Amino acid sequence: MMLFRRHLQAAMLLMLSWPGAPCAVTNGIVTLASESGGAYAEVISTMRAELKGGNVEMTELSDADAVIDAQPMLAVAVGAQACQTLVENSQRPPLLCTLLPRAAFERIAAADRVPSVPISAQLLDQPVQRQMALIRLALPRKKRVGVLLGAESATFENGLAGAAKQHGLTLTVARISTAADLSEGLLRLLADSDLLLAVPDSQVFNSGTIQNILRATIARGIPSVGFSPAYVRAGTAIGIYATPAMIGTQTGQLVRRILLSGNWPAPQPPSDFEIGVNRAVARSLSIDVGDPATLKRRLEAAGATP
Amino acid sequence: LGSRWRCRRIAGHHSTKNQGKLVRRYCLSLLALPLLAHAETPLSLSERDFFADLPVVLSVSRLPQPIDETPGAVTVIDRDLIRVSGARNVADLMRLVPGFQVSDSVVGSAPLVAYHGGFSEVSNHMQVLIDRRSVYSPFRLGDTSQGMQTLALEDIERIEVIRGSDSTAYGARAVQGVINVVTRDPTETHGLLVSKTAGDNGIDDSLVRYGWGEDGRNFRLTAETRGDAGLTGAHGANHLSNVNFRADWRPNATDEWEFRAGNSDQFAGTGAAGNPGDPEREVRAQWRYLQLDWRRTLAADADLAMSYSHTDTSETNDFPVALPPPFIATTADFGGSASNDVLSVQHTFSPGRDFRLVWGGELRSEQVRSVPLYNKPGLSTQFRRLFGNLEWRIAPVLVLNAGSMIEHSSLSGADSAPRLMLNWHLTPGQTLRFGRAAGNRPPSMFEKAANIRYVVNGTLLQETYVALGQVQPEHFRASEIGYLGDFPALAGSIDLRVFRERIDSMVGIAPYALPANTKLNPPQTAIDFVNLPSFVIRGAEYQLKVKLASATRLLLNQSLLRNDGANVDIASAIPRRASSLLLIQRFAGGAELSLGHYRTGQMSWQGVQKLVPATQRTDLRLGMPFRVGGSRCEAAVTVQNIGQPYSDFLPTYQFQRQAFASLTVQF
Repeated sequence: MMLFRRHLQAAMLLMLSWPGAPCAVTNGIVTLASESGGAYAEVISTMRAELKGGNVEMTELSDADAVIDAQPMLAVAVGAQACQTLVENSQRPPLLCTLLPRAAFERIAAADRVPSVPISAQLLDQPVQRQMALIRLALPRKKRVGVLLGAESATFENGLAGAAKQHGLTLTVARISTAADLSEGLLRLLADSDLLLAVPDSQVFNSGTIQNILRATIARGIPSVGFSPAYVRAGTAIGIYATPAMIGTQTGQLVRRILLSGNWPAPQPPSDFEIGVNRAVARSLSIDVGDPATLKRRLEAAGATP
Repeated sequence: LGSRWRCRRIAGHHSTKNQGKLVRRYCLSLLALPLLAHAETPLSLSERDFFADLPVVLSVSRLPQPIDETPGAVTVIDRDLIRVSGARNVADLMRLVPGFQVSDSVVGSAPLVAYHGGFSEVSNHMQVLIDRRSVYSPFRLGDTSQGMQTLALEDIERIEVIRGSDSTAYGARAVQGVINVVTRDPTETHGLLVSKTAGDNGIDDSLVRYGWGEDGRNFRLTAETRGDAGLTGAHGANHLSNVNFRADWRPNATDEWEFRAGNSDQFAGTGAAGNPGDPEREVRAQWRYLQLDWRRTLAADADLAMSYSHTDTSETNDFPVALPPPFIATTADFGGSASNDVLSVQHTFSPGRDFRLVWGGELRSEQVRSVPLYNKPGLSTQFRRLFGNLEWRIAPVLVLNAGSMIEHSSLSGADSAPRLMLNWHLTPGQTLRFGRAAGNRPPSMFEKAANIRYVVNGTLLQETYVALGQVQPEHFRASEIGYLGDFPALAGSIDLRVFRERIDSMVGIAPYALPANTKLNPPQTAIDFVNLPSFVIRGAEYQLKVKLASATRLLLNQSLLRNDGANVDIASAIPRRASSLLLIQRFAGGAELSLGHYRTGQMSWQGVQKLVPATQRTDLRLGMPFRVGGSRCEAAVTVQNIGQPYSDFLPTYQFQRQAFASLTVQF
């Protein structure tokens, strides 16, 4: 039976990849996006391109039931809300969630009602090893890496500490349990840190807190490392992140791999990355981090890419 | 950008699917929102945290200029240094800046600071800014010493001291530099802080601060009292009370509003026993201000800022005078008041990839009211100022700053202060700076229009000051070479400035023989203000910072000054040598021991003309942080001037050894 299913999957993939494949494959791949447009559309279009324009149906979040009804071989949920909507349904198909942070996926997957049905994810978070390697390359004099960890990121502490140690860095941590803790925790952390590594956690880093955090760092001459272009623009000296196109491409590769092998891998971090530099901030801090393209080449050469 | 934010707020509060779609479509179509419409609730991590737009926090004017690219020498005193120094006021901290002279005498109503010489009995050759607001009082000779006392050290984030003329950026009065005080961000001072200091010589300081706020609205209220018995030999007991309030409001991602208001009530002993013309008495100075600032981030590399402030000052300074018959006893009064209104605008932007331009203007209106000092009911001065500075990164290692200020004063006409400075990064961490800067100080209202007359029962008994108004602005022209070296291997840095400052038309006093037709009998001589011959100050100064061990830091300052062509009075105001040293040792558990040693060569303060012998002073402070429950506390003991008493301001005024203890609790 399993063998038959694999053959079927390979055949489906062939159909998807075939330029002349029929348009309406009701039980092919269906995507459900949290929202239309923007990053979601970019992920879907690059994923389609990766799958050679195959039949990838798009469904709006409001029509999530249609995804269930279609009984597809594989559903791709783009964004945390889409992922959650499908996970909450006990009739859900095999599910690949993409374009979402690790903490969000872990939270959603923990409430999975049908654990026997395969589920995995293409995550947004850069591997901590790569982040630490970047810090070593771009800011070699900064040895004490400060992180603010809230409820959503608390579980990353061991991984961060281990990666820091491997790169000859030390990790200093401020644990933030309530919004009121942030100010004091931040000031305490900055007193013992050479740089601040932003770790995704909506209670710690959001549009309301970013002003205080970045101003406090710059006032103390401490650079920050962000996880999105918006952070670099807002005022982190440097940032490392995957673009929606990178996520889309990698999601397409993951879909093909699953369909060909029938094996569902563990949630994947982005294999590709982009580096952003805020020159004005770097100059103000008297640090020379070099240009983003060179940094990327050096980071890849250093073997930090998994 | 503002519209974009509002859109997000609407999207965050949609209640039904359809409304949400509608709003989202509205946002996307009307405002071309990139990537994602941002929903602010609920707060759980999602891809929005990676792709949602964020406000530009560190826009161009928010970013501090690196110290090796500033168009002049800058010394920064941060909170750590303020704490370990044991200082009780801003003037005290200036001992840690190369080239500065400090006096604890309050004879002129507050402790004094000067740079490269005590050219006045008040601090009137530097600009002092507290969060961009000038505290230069136009009353009498012009003075910043009272203004420096109007805030609590606990509220200060850092002090940037610009050594040498910076009239280009901060206008006339910044003729010998700027003391730029930046107070703490109210988001960092939430909660209750209580501090008490007490010790020898009547030292008695108290402070209560409360900070609160959320969601872009933050507030701080600080009240403090300070007092001590002053220098022995002087009638110098002094005490003050300050209340300062600050409110910051960020209504959206691009706009910021800041409101400040405060009151300062300062009492200082002055005068001398047995001198009926200047008897021992208490002078009271009152300050009240309010300040409103608005800043808009136009883009990452463009800001617009506007500011308005109003300051009122008044001084009560009177004493009874016993007169021979037929006159009856009367009161001599030197009091009066002053006020100013300032409106300024500043635009910062990048006209090209390698350029950054700051330009703006200021309107300033000053009123001085004191019949006893001016023999007129009120005097007014209007200032109009236009300034600009272009920073041009000629090459990655070459930064040129070119700027000028044009200022018109209704009292002394138009003047300009150009500056050209080149910073050359020889290697990473090694910078040479050379250039020229000009500054000027228009005469104060007192120097231009003083007229002190003693009139009793309609009879003019005496005229002591008659300013004829001929005095012209002082001009400073400095040429300098600076070197900044950063030595990571030695964990040290050096900031060296070698300079030649030419001072033209410095204002001094000259006797003025009152005309023969005066009713005074016999004819007397009054004091007028005149411009003195040009002279030159040459010298070098440096600040060395070294981390001697992982927990041991050393700060060393030295300055050497020489003059050419100065008359004997001015020459005596310039100390040939000065040095200061601060050694800080941190112990396990957080205890900090700091040892400060300060030396100044012999000098006099102009207006007093009494040579004060060379002084040296050693301070010791031990601070111990600890926790009680959830409260962070620090207990500290400070001994100032461990050695012999030294003369300060006058040979007969002595700074004695004094010890005090302090306890600070942050709830």
